[in-house]
Amino acid sequence: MTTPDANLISRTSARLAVAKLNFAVALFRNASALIRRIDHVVLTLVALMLVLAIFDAHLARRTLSYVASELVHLGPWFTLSVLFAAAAKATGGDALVVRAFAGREGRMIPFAAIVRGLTPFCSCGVIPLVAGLFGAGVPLAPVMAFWIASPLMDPTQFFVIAGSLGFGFAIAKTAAAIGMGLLGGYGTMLLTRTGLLVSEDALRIMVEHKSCCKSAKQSAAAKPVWHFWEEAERAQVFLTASAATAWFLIRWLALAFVMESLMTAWLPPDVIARWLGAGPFAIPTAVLVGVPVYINALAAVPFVAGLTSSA
Amino acid sequence: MNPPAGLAFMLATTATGFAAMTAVWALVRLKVFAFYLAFAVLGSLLAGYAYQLVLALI
Repeated sequence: MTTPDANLISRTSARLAVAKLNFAVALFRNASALIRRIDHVVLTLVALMLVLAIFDAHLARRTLSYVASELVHLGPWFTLSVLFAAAAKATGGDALVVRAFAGREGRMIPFAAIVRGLTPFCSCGVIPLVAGLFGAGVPLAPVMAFWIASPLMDPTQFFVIAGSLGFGFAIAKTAAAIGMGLLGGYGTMLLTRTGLLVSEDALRIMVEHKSCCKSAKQSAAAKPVWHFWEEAERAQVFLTASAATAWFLIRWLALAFVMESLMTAWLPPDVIARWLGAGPFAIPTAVLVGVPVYINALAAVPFVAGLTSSA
Repeated sequence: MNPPAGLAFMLATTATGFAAMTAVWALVRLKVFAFYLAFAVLGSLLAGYAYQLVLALI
């Protein structure tokens, strides 16, 4: 009577053990896959914050609140840009923009440089938009013009500079922003023409490259569908695209803001000021110091004002 | 520091700021990123000298 039962029990427990083992293996595999999938950006971020928390809890807290406030500050533009980019992809409207750019690279460069020099958003807020256009096939040169001019000027900066360093300086910086955009744009155009840079090969990791090209190709034949939410497939594209872009960028931006916070804490302006000089090499020295050093565009205004008035 | 050097410093430090570089770094290959940096440096230099020239002429 008892033997079959015991047999059954031992067999079940053996099966159970095998199942448990399988489960553990699967769990381990999933965990390692997860670690591999939680890419280097997140890992770096977490490791950096942990080390910081151990050695300088105060700075860690300040960095966290800086990152949070910057992300919140960026939030509206970022969300708008993510949604707009996803909508462009889902409707197939990105193909229209690509067509608008096609063959007019030379004219689009000043357009991109001027628009960016005069509109009020940080380049990081519009990356999704740029990425979307890029993925859809907009050439590299106008994008480069846009990128270079992007952080250099916006209306807030203009008025802060005009108030502190004078109207002439504000005009000079606006001109410089547009000029640098033009330099970057036409320079890139030259580089792509000579084959030193390949526009199509410029992207590193693309957010959903395949689906965007499919939609671009589709709409090359068909007209864009503006009411994308009425089609299940397009609605799906919209959702995945916004989620993928948002996640992709928030990681990178969080890392950038952590670095900004650390640099500001470890390299205070009065230290930087000591490296800057006067004399015939003042300009190259200023550039040489300016490249590795980071000062927020608005914070740089009183800093430079203080230095130029004391010299 | 004179105003042209101040301008060159502001341009160089913002164009190579972390957030601005992230916008480029996250999306493109190293080569394109290197050219972005080169344009930022060259542009800041040229802008500084151009401003100096303009101030001298005015």
